[in-house]
Amino acid sequence: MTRGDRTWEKVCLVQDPEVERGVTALVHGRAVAIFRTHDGEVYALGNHDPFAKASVLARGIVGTREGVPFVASPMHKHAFDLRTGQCLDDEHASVPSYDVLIEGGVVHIGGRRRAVA
Amino acid sequence: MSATAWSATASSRAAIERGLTETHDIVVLGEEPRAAYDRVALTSFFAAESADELSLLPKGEYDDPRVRLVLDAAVTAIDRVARTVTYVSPAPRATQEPLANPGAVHTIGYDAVVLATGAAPFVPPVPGKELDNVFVYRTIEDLEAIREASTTATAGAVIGGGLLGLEAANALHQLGVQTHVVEMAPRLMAVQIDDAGGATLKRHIEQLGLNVHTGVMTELIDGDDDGVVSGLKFKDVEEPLAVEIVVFSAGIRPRDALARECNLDVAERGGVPVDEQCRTSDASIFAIGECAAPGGKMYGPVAPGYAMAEVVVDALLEGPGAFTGADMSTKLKLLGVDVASFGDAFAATDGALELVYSDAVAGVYKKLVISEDGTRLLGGILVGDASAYGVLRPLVASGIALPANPESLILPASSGAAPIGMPDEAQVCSCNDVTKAQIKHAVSEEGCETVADVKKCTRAGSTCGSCVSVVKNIIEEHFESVGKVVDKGLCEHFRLSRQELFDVVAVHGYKRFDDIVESHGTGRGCDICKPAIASIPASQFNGHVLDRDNRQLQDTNDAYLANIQRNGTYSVVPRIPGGEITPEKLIVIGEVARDFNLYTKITGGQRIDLFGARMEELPAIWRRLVDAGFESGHAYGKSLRTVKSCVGSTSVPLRRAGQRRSRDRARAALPRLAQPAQAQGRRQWLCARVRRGPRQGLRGHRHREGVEPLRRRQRRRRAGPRTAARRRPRHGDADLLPRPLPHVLHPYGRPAPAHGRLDRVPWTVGSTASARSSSTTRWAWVPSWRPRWPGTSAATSTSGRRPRRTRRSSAASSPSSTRPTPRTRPSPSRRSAARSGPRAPTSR
Repeated sequence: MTRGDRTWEKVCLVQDPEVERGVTALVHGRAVAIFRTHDGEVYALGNHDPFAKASVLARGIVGTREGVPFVASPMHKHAFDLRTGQCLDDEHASVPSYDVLIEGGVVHIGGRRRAVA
Repeated sequence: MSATAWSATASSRAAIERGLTETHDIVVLGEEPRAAYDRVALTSFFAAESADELSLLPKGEYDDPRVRLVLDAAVTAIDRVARTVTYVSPAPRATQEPLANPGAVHTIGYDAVVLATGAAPFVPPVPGKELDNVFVYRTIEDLEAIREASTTATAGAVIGGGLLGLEAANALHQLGVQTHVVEMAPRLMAVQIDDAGGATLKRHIEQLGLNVHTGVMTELIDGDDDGVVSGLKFKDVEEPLAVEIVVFSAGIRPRDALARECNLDVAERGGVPVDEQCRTSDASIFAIGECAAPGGKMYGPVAPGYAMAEVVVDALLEGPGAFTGADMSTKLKLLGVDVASFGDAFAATDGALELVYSDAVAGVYKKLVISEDGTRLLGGILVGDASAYGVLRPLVASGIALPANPESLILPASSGAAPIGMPDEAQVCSCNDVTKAQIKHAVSEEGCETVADVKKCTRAGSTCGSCVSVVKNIIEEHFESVGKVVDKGLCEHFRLSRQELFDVVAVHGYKRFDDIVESHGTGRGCDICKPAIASIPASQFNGHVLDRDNRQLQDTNDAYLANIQRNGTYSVVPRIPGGEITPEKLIVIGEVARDFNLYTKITGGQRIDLFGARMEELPAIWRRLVDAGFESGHAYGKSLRTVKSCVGSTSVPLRRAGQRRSRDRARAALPRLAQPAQAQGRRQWLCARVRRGPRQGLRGHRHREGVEPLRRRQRRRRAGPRTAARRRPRHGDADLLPRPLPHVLHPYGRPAPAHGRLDRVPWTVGSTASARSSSTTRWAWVPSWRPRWPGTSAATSTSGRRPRRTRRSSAASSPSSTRPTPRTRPSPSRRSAARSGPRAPTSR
């Protein structure tokens, strides 16, 4: 489960999460929020909102901000980039994002992504 | 310099301000025993604590010690040659008597005299005017006498339906006397308003319970054997009017006796003629206020009096000030009715045109007098609604060209009337005296962008609110003029405002967010526009807020029908309308709280809050609450907000002030609905409550206000035992007082036991086909459940899956073992009976 680890965990079928809603899964012992956006992309972020200090991100509202897909935390509406986990309201905050692989209609969650250089 | 009376106070004030006291000694001689007071506010004397509240000199002296105030001093003569004023003090009380007085005679010298003797009420020579209980309405002493008489009287008449007459009528009315207004002219306020306006005003006043008699002439005041008024007889009217009080308010006459005595010129119709500097025919004697007649015309209102006072001070300082006439425009509230008259109200100008708006139903009459060419406003009359006065009067004064559609100036604001071409000096908010220029300044210099900003900044529109639409127009007009586009868009995805989106949906009939965002927006929405749009189809088509197409739009509280808390758990607040609940329901709440290990507390708003519910527990929690007869969907239990209810023969839950209007409507309905029962001699128990939809569109709750009879069970419960329960702890009964519990007093200082669980286990354990295929993965699922309402078949079919129970499954699956007795638990059949109709009383 460490970074760059290529072990993928099967989580669910692509069509299982509703469009623009999140679900939570336990992957490698961590709570991961999985979102399916309107264009069919699947993203995975850490479920823990660093502002609210609660595992709630999967219950946020999914949308776009200037073309960037994001989820707004249900607690205090902080927006996080679905692709990178970067907080769009506070450049110092971010949540982990995870690799997603779709194979045979099944969503696999991989290791935590490295920060984009 | 010496002066007398009310405008003298104004004059002295001006003198102090302008530094006249540096060069002159000022003596103010007043005939009344008290310092000058505000006669305009005379009617409020009854409401005032004491006469001091009306006083213009609350301290009884002027700020500058060089001004000497001599009260109770009647000036008897002015010697223009010797330049002395003679007065007697104390003044003789009855003014009719010759000035043979017991007071000492004083004489003071002067350089200049200001006559500010005012006017005396005119009492027409009607037989019987000398009877007891015949009054005038002018001084505090008059009012005190009227009040005294009103204690025994039941009916009174005011003779004169002018401005003061109506004030007097108001005073009588306030004293609880059946009041008649008797006016010789065919209408009320004949000087200020025309026939149609007078008729409107009359209707208003009659609605208040006063009687108005216009076009009648008082022939005789009848008295009884004791010399007290007993009735009024009118010319050409058979039936006398039985009244015990008569108040004359038939105009005023200038008190110019002093001027006559010292051989000053006196105008034909009374008053001392003065020039533009308010100088009489003697250059060292001035006259101001009601006793003066600049240009042969007498000015009654306060404002011209003040203006003349300023002019005199200016003249004494050898300044250029001149009084060239005053604007006699009037705007006032008489008996709660707005009346305004300004400029050439009677269209006396040659060729003047009239533009009239009249709404007899609402009691509004507005007339504009417009110049022959239709370009300028000359004057007007407003009755019932004088809000346009602030716009219209400056139009007269400034002579600015009228807009092409002048009717928009007097049409009701709702019809979109805009004050086009309103001058900057126009008063917009008459409550707080805010001009258009001030509002524009607030918008252009202080960065106000909305009505709310301007309200905060200038206070315009913050009192009565009648000018808010004008304020809004001014703001928009300003932004338009500077070319700034006010972005009313909801968020980056929609350029439309909420209202516009609502209309778009109404027109196109969109039911899905996707359709709306594709046709009227960009992107995929955000946390601002999505919940907003979710409510629009829900409220227009009454759809379910968790329909498949729109459930992703809902904020978490609406998506899960509970209230998210700081650690991500939810709180559940069962709705208890009006605070009415049964023991059974309370027990169920308690059982649910116990079985799900919820931290339970009574909130500050007396709601019962169950904290610490995990998301996946919510369907099961609501299932049990709904089965017990609660409504789901009320995540906050606040749809009735904070309910303060009382128990009695009628019960009116008061709701929060923001929703006062609906409450008042329901309240107003109470007596009306109780009437039939009362007429039959039945005692009926009523409960007024305002019903609102739980959340817009959730289910068929339409807004409904009304009154419903309490059910028998509720009545019995409400009446309660009459003895023991009435005993209440008093401060003396130490053993009865509840002991304070620290964690109740500081609920937020100590985490409830249920809190914090989710931090440790932040996901749910569930299972689906795909998850089962991987033995190492446990993952959570959002249960696709929807709340169920009693009696809906759809809900039954889609009732939520209960998540598999984990730790507490044994306790939860056998709750009956922990319940006190099986008897109190409603059987399934009884439960359904309770839902479908009135429940049979439990066996006793």
